[in-house]
Amino acid sequence: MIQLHELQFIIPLITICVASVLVLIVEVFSRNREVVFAVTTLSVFVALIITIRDISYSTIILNNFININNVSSGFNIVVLLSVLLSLLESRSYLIKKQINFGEYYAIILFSLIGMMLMVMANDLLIVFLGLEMMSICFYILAGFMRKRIKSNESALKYFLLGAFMTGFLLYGITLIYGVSGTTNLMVLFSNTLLHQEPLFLIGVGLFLIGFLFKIGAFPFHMWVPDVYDGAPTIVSGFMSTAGKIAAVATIFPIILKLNILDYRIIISVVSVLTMMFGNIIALAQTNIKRLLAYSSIASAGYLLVGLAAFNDMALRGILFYTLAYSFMQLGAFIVVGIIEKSSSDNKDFSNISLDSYKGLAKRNPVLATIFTLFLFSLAGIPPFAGFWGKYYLFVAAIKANLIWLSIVAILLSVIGIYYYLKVIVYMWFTDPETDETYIMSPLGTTAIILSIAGTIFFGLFPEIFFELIRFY
Amino acid sequence: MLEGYIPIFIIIFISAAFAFLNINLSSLLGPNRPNKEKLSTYESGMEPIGTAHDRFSIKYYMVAVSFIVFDIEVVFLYPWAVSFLNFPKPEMIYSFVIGLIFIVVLAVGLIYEYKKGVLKWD
Amino acid sequence: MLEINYYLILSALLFSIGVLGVLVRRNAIIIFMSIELMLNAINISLVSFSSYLGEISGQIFVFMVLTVAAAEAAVGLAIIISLYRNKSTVNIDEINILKW
Repeated sequence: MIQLHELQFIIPLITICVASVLVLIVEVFSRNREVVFAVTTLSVFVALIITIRDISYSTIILNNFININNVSSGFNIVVLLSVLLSLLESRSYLIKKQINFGEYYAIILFSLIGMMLMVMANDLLIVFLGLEMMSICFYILAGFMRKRIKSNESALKYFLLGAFMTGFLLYGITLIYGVSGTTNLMVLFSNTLLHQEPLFLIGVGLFLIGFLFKIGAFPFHMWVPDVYDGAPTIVSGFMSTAGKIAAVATIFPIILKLNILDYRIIISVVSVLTMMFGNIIALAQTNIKRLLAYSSIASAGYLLVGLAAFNDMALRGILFYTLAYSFMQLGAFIVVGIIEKSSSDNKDFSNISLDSYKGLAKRNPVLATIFTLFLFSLAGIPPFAGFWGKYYLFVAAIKANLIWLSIVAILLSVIGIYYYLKVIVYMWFTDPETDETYIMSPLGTTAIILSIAGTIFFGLFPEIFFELIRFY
Repeated sequence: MLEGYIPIFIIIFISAAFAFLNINLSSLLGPNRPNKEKLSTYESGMEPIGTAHDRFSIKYYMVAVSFIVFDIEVVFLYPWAVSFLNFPKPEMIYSFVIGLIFIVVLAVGLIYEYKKGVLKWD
Repeated sequence: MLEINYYLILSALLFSIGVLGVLVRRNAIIIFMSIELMLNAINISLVSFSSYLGEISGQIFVFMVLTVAAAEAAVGLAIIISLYRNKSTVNIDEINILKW
């Protein structure tokens, strides 16, 4: 039975739940999208503030279903932050694309509920429910431009593959349950005898596969470029940050706490292959959305390097990398969204080939500078946040005696610098082909300023984040 | 346990093999000379009208989707209703409130559907 | 009362049929039905584990899986229909604008 006082620990979650229902009601009764947008943004903002305020809570509540500690709250902060940033730019993008329906905001909030639940889960049941709430909302969001074939197609691909992989994830959960007789994660962590059972290992492996799909790791990465290419740009940004971070935040602590070192070699190999595919195929891309998609695959590889370390530094690196990643990846996607929505023909996605970035610095130096900063951070050049993210991850791997892995990772991220530089060269050192001007809405500008500020600030003072979430 | 079923399995196997064999024998041995008349759809000797891939009203789809979702929600209400009377009094109120919250959330979905005009048949 | 093994073998077989269906069929609706078959195969093994272990949470899990499958069905059919309206096909070999 739930005690009423337990609810104070999940006020952010309750805020989002109430707001999502409210948004639906406002949408059908008044159709006032300004109110819908205001309610959505405000609720996410309030949830973010309360989560930061309550960072010191550490408890297991609601019949052992929810586990709140500084790590889960830290990940929740990152997720909420990236949802907030993408919401700020969403409105002008949706209006320009004539898809400004109130349902968009409701679905964003529903998926946010799923993400937060999943991050705080202490039971495989909650993990499953949260993951599905998030994924089903993503299927809808990917197909949100329902008149465009590209958007439909990306939604269908994402849906069929996602539902297929859910089957494997569930089979894994079933095996874990069959061997252990429980779905409670705390019991599973503490019962170390269980960790030698072959059926249990297979179960955890299938469970991990389901999540590797969601974070876009090799060999389950093929959907990533297609879906990010076809989905509305701002949704791609949202999926590649918030969605990926939530999946990482759920599975990585579980695997780290299970501490099954037999998996180390598999995870290392997967991470090397993921980085290779992400970085090398990105070299050949001429479409900026696909390029960012491959760069997000590479990022999944870097995160897996941290996971393979299986030590205390690993969680630190993963936490910081997700924070840096949410700022820089989302920032880059917002810039791409601004350039894409400004194109004169409004029929299908245009302005997303690298050619439309030619001479951007001459046409709009501010936008070009901002985009360059994000790309530098993604490439891992100091002093931006992306550098420290990679640094912590690779240090964790070195501490765990995985020297070869960190050397490979560093080499591959050096290859990665090449394709980011290619975009930068296009922007600064070629002549413009068009003379389009770009519209920046005030809210979108705020989102960009926040992302830039985050990228630079956490690049200069990386330790402040750990102090904020009391993680030493 | 399963031994009693062995004759049935044998019969299933033999009949499946027999049917499979005969169907394939006729296409192997018989002459194969298709023409337009033979390939067209057999519709009781009449000329076929339209295609079999005709679209039907999208309303059926809407009803089907609403049905799936609400049908499954009933699955949750049954165990709740059955175990309701077994609780002592304070837990009864608690479980009543929980059930109420569940139904309210569903009702919001229903109101949304109604206002969007999904339930209007014409 | 049959042994649990029979149920698990049945469930594994149904799951494999579902996987095979997803991999070889080309019609989006049939692929989707195969996925549903996979989920229901999992339900069988969850229920049989639950009854074998004498522990109720497996059966509760089945309720959740059923619900999620229904929600997925609603969304999936909607996606397939909106694609069909634009493209007049649900054959996934013809759905191929997005590559490279």
